[in-house]
Amino acid sequence: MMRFLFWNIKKNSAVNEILRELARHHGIDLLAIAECPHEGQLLAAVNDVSEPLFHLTDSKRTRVSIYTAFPSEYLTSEYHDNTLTIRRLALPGKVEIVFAAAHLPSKKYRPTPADRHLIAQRVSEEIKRVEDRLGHSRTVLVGDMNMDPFEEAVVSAAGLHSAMTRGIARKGSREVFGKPYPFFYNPMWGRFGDTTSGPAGTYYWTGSRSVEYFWHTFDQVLVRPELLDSFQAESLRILEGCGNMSFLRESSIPDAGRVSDHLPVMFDLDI
Amino acid sequence: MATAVEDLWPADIESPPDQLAPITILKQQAAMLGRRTRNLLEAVVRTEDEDPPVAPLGDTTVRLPLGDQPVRLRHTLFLVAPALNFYRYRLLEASHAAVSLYPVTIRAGWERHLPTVVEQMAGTPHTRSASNEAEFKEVLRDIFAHEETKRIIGSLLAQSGEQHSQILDPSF
Repeated sequence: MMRFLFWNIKKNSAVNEILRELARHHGIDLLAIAECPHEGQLLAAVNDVSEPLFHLTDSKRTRVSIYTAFPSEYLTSEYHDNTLTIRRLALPGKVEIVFAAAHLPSKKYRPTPADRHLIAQRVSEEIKRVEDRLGHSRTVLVGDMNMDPFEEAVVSAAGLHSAMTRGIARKGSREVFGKPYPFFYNPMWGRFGDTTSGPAGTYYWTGSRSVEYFWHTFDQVLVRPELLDSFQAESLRILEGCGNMSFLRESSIPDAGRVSDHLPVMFDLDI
Repeated sequence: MATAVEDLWPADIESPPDQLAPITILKQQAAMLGRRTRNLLEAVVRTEDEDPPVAPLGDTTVRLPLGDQPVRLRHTLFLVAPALNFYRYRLLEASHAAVSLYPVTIRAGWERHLPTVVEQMAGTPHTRSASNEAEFKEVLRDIFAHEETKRIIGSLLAQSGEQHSQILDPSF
């Protein structure tokens, strides 16, 4: 069993100490951190007291820093650009998987749906290229997509092509205009609103437009059908605190000033 | 009818019971450094065939009688600073005959640059030698405790704690 945690920490070094507690409390094996302002300080913080020691892995230019509780030689880079890193995770005695982490551009700067679709399509194509090269699609994609699970770029065949149920995703792929497109399963569909366990989303934002969702689920975990049997759906959690420390304000929205405007997402893979 | 293949190898094939290989010792020490620095500074060992010495006045490569088999193995211990864009510093090299564990020739990375061909043939004055495991460990202890090694490690550690990630792209 391996435990993964993704978090956009909004360049807040104060979160370093929280990450140390999270890693120790939950027994995290892999930390993927977006908007990490200082990789060395975070490494020093998470390794300050706890065992095992984390290793900082080489993220090249990608804006996601990855720390592992196992030697970094087992997580090798297969592709990277500034928004996406795709790694081969091959631990001794465990099933090899593809671990991809992304931090896609904010809507504030890439406003059009066409732009977002183009970015999602590129992510999808690069992942497929790596899968073809490695000969399997045991892939998990995590990250701050800056899009909700229901947006076209996340759902469409040429985009991330993520389905809301395992039953649909298990079909493997879907043919559109004569070309097959592989599915992802997107379990974040099951984490919307206040009738599910945990917060209503991973990010809160409100404006003065006529349509406001308030809560967004930008931070997502997408799983390929070939890895579904290893994915522990009940383990997927949006964390709202650690010990006595809450990541939320009194109004129950993410505390952007003290912690981050995003909430961390944690899940297990039985590999 | 299938014929059983006879195993001609002796029953007692094993590594020398009382000697740790230089590469094993180097990897152990590499792991120790990570623990000591909480992985702010790590060390890795890379092994490669060592080019045989070249005769000074010609292009004839000196080889053992078996021809083109590598004569020696060279293990290089690199310091790696992950938070400094994975900067690598070659701390030391240890080489020995490919089919023997000892003697080992060791040279610290900070001692000098690559020796000239003539120095290589003659044996450079900065090269140390260890004829067994205990001597090899003693040489390593000496290099690790050297003021220059401590200065380099201290410098990399200090920078690892200060180096900020690249300026974040505002579009994220």
